[in-house]
Amino acid sequence: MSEKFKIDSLKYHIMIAWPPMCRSRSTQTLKDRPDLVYKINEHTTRIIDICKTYKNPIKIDQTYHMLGLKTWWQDGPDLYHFLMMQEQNKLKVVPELAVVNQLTNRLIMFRFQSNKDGIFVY
Amino acid sequence: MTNQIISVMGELGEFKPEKLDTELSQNIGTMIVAGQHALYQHADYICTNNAEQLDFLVKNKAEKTVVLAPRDQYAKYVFYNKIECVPVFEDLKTYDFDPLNCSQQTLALATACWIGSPVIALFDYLLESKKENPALKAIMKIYPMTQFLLIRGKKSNKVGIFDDMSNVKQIDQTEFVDFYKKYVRKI
Repeated sequence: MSEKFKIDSLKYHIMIAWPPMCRSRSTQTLKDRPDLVYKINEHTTRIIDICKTYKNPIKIDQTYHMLGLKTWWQDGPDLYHFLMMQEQNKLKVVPELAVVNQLTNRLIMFRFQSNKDGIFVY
Repeated sequence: MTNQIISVMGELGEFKPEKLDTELSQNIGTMIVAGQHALYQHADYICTNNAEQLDFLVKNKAEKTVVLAPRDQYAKYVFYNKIECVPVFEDLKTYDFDPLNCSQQTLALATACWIGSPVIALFDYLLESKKENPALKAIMKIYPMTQFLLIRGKKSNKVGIFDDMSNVKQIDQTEFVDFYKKYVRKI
């Protein structure tokens, strides 16, 4: 995962869900539950380590979201590989994919289903 | 890549790569082709709404070329580089413009108008009275400030259907090259 990248080149956006017990927790709850914060930090570190194995830029959004960790990807094949490896990596990606149209610079939203045979985007 | 002139290659099927001589290829501006047009390897953009042609073009296009397809077809290639979804054609909404069901040359023309250029040249454009001509004239009316150049083949005559339109000119290839050179010099 390279630190040097242009934000404009990040084409794909996905959200990687927090561990089940950490999902949909308000910031107030997190203040009272250091055990959940620990889990979230551990989960984030693991995701960062996985992202580091990819050559092309990936940006991890630092702002907290109740559902999971927001990530931006530059390379389609990298993201495809990551999505296919969800199960092996013991991760769950929210099945929504946002793609920046490089002609219009607008985001296009898709849903997807993934299984061992591939990814179906619709 | 320049948007000084956008050239659209239609679906008539008479314009072969050998007709794209050095002089013309240097003076054609941004090239948008309709589907698997004979010049697809030379194009900046290819517009297609034909699933089979999309499969072929993704595999065989030149590296620089961007393939544009309607959302439902694009979804299959979302993880590929240089494949994009066609824009939302807000200007054509009143005409119920459907990128999935219009002809590929109309899609290419709509894309050219969306990108925007003071001059859009139409090469190898199929004129047909039932669907194509009304669609073409409608788009020409929506963009009255755009100069449309309908490029005739060497042996073709002028057609009368655009006589009532002030932003349409019919010229041949040689006249187009002269026009381009003068036009580029002016801007």
